[in-house]
Amino acid sequence: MIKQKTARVFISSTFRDMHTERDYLSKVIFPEIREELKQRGIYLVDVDLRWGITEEESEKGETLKICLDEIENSRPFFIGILGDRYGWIPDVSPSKMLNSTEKKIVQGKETSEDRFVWENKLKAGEHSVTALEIYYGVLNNLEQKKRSFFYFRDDKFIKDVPKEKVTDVKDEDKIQQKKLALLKKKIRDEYSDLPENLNDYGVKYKGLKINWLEIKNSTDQKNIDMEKLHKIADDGIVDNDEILELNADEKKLVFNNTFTYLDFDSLVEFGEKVKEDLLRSIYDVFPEDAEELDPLDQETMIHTNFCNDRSNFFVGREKQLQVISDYVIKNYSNKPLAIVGEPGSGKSALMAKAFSNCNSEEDNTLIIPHFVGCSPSSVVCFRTLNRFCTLIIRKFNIELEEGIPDEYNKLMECFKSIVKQIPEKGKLIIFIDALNQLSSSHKSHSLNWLPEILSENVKIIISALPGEVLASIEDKKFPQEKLGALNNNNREEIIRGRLKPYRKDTLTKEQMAVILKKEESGKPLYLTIVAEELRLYGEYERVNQKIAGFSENIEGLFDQIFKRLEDDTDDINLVRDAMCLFECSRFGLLETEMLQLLKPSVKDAINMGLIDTDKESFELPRKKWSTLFLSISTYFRSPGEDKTGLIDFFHRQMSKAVRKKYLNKKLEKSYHKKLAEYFHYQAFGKDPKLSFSGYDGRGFAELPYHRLLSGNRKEAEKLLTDFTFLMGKARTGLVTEILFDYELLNEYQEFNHEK
Amino acid sequence: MRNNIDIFHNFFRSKQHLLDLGDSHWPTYRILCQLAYEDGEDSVISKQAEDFLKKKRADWSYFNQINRIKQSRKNPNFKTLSEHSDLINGVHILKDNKVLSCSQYDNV
Repeated sequence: MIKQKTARVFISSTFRDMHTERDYLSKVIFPEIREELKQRGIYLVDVDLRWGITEEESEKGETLKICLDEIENSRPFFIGILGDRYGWIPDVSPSKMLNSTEKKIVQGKETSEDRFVWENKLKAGEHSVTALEIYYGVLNNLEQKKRSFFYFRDDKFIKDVPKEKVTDVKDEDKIQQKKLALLKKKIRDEYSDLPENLNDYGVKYKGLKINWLEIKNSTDQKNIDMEKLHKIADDGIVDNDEILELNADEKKLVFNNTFTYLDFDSLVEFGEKVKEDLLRSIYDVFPEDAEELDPLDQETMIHTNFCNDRSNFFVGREKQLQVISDYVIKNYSNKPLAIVGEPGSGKSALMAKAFSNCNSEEDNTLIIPHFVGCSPSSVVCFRTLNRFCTLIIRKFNIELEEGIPDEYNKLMECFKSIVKQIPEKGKLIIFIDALNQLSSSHKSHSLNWLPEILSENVKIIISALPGEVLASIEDKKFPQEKLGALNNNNREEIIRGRLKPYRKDTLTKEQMAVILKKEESGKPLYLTIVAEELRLYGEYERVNQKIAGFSENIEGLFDQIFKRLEDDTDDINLVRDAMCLFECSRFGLLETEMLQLLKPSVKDAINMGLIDTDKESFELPRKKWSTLFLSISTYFRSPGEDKTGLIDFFHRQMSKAVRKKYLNKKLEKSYHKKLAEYFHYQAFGKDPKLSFSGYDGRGFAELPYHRLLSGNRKEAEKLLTDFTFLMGKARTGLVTEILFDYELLNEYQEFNHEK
Repeated sequence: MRNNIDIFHNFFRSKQHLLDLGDSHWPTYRILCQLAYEDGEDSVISKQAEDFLKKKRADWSYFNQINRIKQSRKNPNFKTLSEHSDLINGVHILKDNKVLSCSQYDNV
């Protein structure tokens, strides 16, 4: 697995007067930063919400929610740019705007409850959205201070701006001016001990940049000589001299802020400062020579984090927890203990809870959590056994004459032998969750690698779904503990517990009864999804219909979520493509990759006004992505969890639902082809004469896999016999993965894609 | 005629212990390039490495015009064990053909 990291940067400013700065950053500075960071395995995501959020949409109450969520997801990096406008002030109080759509904060230090209280204190009509972003992002969260930068534009250029356009860049209202001055003062005061994070910059007014698309689509151009206008503004800009050539109607058109915005020169210094500040800050957070955790500790950290996530909101299952505790302490069986249950019955959460209950402070006890599927190597039996052996040898100083074997059969025997060598005073406890997700190579589902008889001081707790693994458990007569349906009290507790932090635990007894009568309401996953969907549902008056309409089972609920997404985004293809791309990915995808993979065609991008010409680069508008992803992010492994930024499904049931609803074999190949083409482009680099000169480690890592899975074995073979590709892979630190690529080719015939 | 995939796979497997020596002063890709260049007169890997170097894609020093074997051949070694630092007196392959036993001075 490559060691990539993701840095997200939130850009906060008013919109109308800051187009030029934002354009300059997104088209010139961020691509430069991105290229530089890529060489150190860091991916930059610049969160510029300008494309999607209009003031009309803001009134619907969506703006602030999206902004604050994105600030949370971008911590600790934040850029604030202020000119002479305070910005748009919503008429409704921020808490009301958020009430309907409050969501879990993924990474922030504050709990959602703190955030709720903070938002409630704010009054309607008081603060602009930009000010709220700054208060919320930085001034109310001073841990963020060091990584946040502010840029204040001086107002000398205003004297050159046509008087009809001055209101675009300067507040006329005295109260607004006062508020802006106060905000700037607060920032300056707060940063008096960190002046290097504050910058003043100047610009030179160039002219009015014309939005030809808006003009073309408008009906106000009847009296306008478009040919003349095109001739005057041949560079897309009308400067002060050119304005003199326009008649009254034409002037009215160019002074309309829908059709033009102010363009500036001399942004180089501003851009360079942003670049310097951001790079310095990102390098501080991700230092090059930072001591990387050794791969074994890194893997342990992933399992422990996963465990913490799963044991959150755990309720009930007292009997099963007692059985596990007795098994560990009282030695009532010398065989591994198996936890079995239907999908969604909460096996992983129970295993996680049991693991955390088991935390021993005794020096001579080793407790290993292993959640199959939570990391790429956790699904491979060979690597799993290697991990166990290494951890055990390290802990108990066991000496192996020949070291840990490289050959699978020997490794299997080695593991069985090592668990017999735990010192008398020592204790070994291993939790292995979701054995059914283990890759089926080497007949691992037969459990031939698992010791059948354990000594007193060795305990192994495994979990699995009904199926091949369960059949092996029964064959070997391992004791089993079955997870049945939750009792009604526990069911209610789960729903109320999940809604409480958002002040939504107000369901009536009748409403709760309707939920508890649903077919699969005995499964924690079903209840979790129901609670999550209720939390996101804004219309209190219609909550009864919402509850009644919930599907009876988990699969149906996921289907309803996909339908909700299709409605929210108003784009069925976007939802289908996003879900299928996640499903076809190897170990998840980066946000930057999704924005590129889901972007519209060049023609559509021009029509949408994302770009003016086919030579400009663009991606999926941020608002579309935020609308799609933020409301389902709890169903995904969080992008910030291990700082790799990879986003993947949290629940395998969701993956299955995607396959059922959207995928067939032909489509699956086409998504792999799309991914292969994307990663090929990333790895190939920009020079057409120098193949595979790119620095994108992800491109080199993912390409062979997707070539193979797209059904193009020849291309995959060509790649793995192309010295320039292999050199590129070595250059990006992936030389050890090359052998896995050849093994993948050899095993492809029996390759089981299900992740 | 050996399949190119086998040739490349064998090359990487047999050179893994040398590629592992890469560090920030002399990164792995430079070692890879040199090893590929030295693989053999008739080696497809060497030919590609020569082409790579001809296109001036290496901005570091490397050895060229070296004496290299005429015919590259499959390395029968599955893995090279590289920990020994002193003389090895003898090697014995046990009956199962899998375990290698050796006597040496360095106590590794």
